[in-house]
Amino acid sequence: MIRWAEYFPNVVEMWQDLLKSLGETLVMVGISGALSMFLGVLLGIVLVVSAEGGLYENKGFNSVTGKLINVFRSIPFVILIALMVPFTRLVVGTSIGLRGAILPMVVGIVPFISRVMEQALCEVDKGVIEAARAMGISKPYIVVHILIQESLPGIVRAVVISFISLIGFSAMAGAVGGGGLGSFAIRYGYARYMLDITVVTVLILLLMVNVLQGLGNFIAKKMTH
Amino acid sequence: MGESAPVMELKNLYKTFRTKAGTIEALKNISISAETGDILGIIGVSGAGKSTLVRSINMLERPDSGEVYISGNNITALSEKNLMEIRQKIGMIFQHFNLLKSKTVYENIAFPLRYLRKSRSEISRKVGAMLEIVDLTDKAHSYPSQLSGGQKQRVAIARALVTEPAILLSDEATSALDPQTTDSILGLLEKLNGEFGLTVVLITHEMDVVKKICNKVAVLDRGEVAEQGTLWEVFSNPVSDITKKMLSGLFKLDNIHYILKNINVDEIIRGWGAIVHLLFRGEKANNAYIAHLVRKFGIEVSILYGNIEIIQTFPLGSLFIAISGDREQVGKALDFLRSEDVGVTILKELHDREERREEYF
Ligand SMILES: Nc1ncnc2c1ncn2[C@@H]1O[C@H](COP(=O)(O)OP(=O)(O)O)[C@@H](O)[C@H]1O
Ligand SMILES: [Mg+2]
Repeated sequence: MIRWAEYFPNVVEMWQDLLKSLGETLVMVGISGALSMFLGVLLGIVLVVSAEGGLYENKGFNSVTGKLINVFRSIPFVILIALMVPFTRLVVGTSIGLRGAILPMVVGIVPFISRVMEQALCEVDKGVIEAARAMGISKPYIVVHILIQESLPGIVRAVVISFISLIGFSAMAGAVGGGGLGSFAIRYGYARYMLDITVVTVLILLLMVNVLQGLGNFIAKKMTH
Repeated sequence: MGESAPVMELKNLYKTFRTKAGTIEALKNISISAETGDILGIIGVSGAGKSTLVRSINMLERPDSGEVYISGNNITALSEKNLMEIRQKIGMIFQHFNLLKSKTVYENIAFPLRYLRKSRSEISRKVGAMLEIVDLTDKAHSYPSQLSGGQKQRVAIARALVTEPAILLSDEATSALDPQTTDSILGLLEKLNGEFGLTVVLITHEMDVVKKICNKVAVLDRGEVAEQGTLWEVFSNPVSDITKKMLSGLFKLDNIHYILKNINVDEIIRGWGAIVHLLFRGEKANNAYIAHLVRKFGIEVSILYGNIEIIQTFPLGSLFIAISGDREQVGKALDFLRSEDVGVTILKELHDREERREEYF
């Protein structure tokens, strides 16, 4: 019989707070994830079809979009949160708490997702698209039924990587007032030297990442023929 | 347009690519046509402009100038939307098959029909029929990754033909396949041509492929048509250097170069001589010319290498000889052959030892 109270005294005492923080993390990651996956996939498609030789080739647009994405990608997330405070307040009314964290998380992750999506979509053989064009199939149909469907395993993998990054972001956003597991670990584990809190938080995050990765790999594998 | 319009006609096509590295004239004044039921081969080396040409037939590549007629209709000026309908009537297959990896064989073939919103029963009937034609009924629920190259190309052919197009464009469709599989794919195309009157435009860099199934051929060289005609016309009387070069494989010219390197020419050449390639066309392939030359002109003829190809049911004889003797008599003998409509190409002129010695002093 493991004597939990002896090894993890603070965890045992504050398990309700811990659960609440976990819930907050899941909410943050879930909402910002859903929003940013949608935007990221869209941007990824836009990047691919506007690229040279793409279905809707537009080099100027492609290059401007690409550069904009690179600008956002090069800002460290913690600094992005600070930079965005006025904008976040304007949009959601507050820059702290769960609500304050979601917007910076979306802005922080979308450039990343759009790049990994771009890569996943690039895997689709140009020849397959050419064959569909030769069949007289419309471009929108090609985007949905070939570009997206053929790269679904890659898209799933990209989604998983993005969610994992988002978990990291959520911890950072939490540390600067967003709530969730990150802020829980900082408030107790770090500020009050409750080492067991830090350890358990890390274990939970580790578990989340592994479950996600495993699930993603499983689905992607199922989809690959 | 009347009934007699060619199913496909290209008129004076030009296409220039402008890149940072410079401009490339990929097509220069291309005019080619195909009648219903033709298997038209377009042959050329890599970079000759074959893909650009075939892609302009369905306007995947818009030519800078010139016109493309499909069944008498000029499609050059059509909008993208109208072009989509024309493309549904022109099938296309490729070197790398270009199948959908995430879909089964059945779904790959059904793909164009689903786009056209055909009913379930029609899709099932048509896909079933195509599967039978390409002999892949038992692979209906396999994925492309589980198929061999030849099977993949069969799926691609079924997918290209399930909408019942009048023309099939084939861009190097057998170039990634081994010789045996190539033969089976060519056999399939020939069957489709024979049974359904399918017109095939076949792009290739291999003369052997053209020889096997085409009835017409156009030789493309650096964006231009070097020569074109029926298979017999071009094979039995190649005019351009590029055609002769491409035919050299057929006549096993490399064997001759090997022989020339390894025989002692001095022993077979007396007086003036030459290594000559003779082409005997049709019934001429049977005539006893060699004996006649020896008897009538008093010269010597050694046979180095020969073979006979059947081109569109006609025999085409190719013979490499070393001919020697009195220079004037040799010249007369060759003129005689030319007058008999035998193709004469002098590969190498030779002089015997004494003549050479004279040259040295
Ligand atoms: N989209 C393109 N942009 C620039 N150059 C091209 C393009 N497509 C083809 N070319 C050039 O045009 C020439 C003919 O190409 P292609 O038609 O593919 O030849 P083939 O199929 O006979 O090998 C080549 O020099 C090739 O590099
Ligand atoms: Mg090519």
